[in-house]
Amino acid sequence: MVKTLRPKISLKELRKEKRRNHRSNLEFIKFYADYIKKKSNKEWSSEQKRFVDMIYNIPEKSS
Amino acid sequence: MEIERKGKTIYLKNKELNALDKLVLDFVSLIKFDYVIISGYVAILFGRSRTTEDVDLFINPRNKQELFDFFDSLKTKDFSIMNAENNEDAYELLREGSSLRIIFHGNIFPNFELKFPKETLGELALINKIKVAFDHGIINTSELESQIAYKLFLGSDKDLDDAAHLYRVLKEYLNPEELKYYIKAMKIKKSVVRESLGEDLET
Repeated sequence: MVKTLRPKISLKELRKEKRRNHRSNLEFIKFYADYIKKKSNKEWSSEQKRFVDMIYNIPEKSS
Repeated sequence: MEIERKGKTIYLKNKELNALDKLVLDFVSLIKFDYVIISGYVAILFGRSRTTEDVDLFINPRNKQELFDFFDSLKTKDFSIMNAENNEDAYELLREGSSLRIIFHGNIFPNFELKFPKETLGELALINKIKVAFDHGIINTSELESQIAYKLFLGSDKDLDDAAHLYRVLKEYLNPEELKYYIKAMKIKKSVVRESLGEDLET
């Protein structure tokens, strides 16, 4: 049987890392918000459309 | 981002509608009574590039028949109720405070999560609703100030990110006093406001 390492986990470190990750994410969100504010609606929404349409496979509407 | 605000309407002209926008517009075109869309989709509407499993709505039909007419109209656009067998069951779910899930073309995601407002903030959301107008339709949403504050109150990473995005993008169109009021009323910590919104809002 393969022995796996079971290191002692520091919750303090994990929480710190979680906060660091979120702060970094927030920084990106602020950067992105500033970025789209400078773009025309046509420009930012086309970029967003590429992303959203790729994620959702919504069938064309029936009407 | 080109935004124009005239009273209770925000104009977002020339927005290229994505698949989710089109689905939402199609869905709300069936609603003939008061409603507001809240939460995650609102952040997406204003440019966040993220996904959501559901589009949340508060609804306020004038009477049961109006609600049933809406239920009956769903199939005309290939929508269906996922978690109720018939109109009466659907009404009971809503009445007891649960959510009604409506799906499109049999696909579970994304779905529309409908609720009757059961507390003051929900009722206020409907009373103080605003409109977001595109070139091809209008969507009702609740006051952005209360939505930002509520997201700070909820406090998950995703909610804080949405609050940060909405505030940053719409800052010039928000009423700072209104935002401060909601932040104070929801007892949101100053550190949370500072970190998410990027500045202190003296409340």
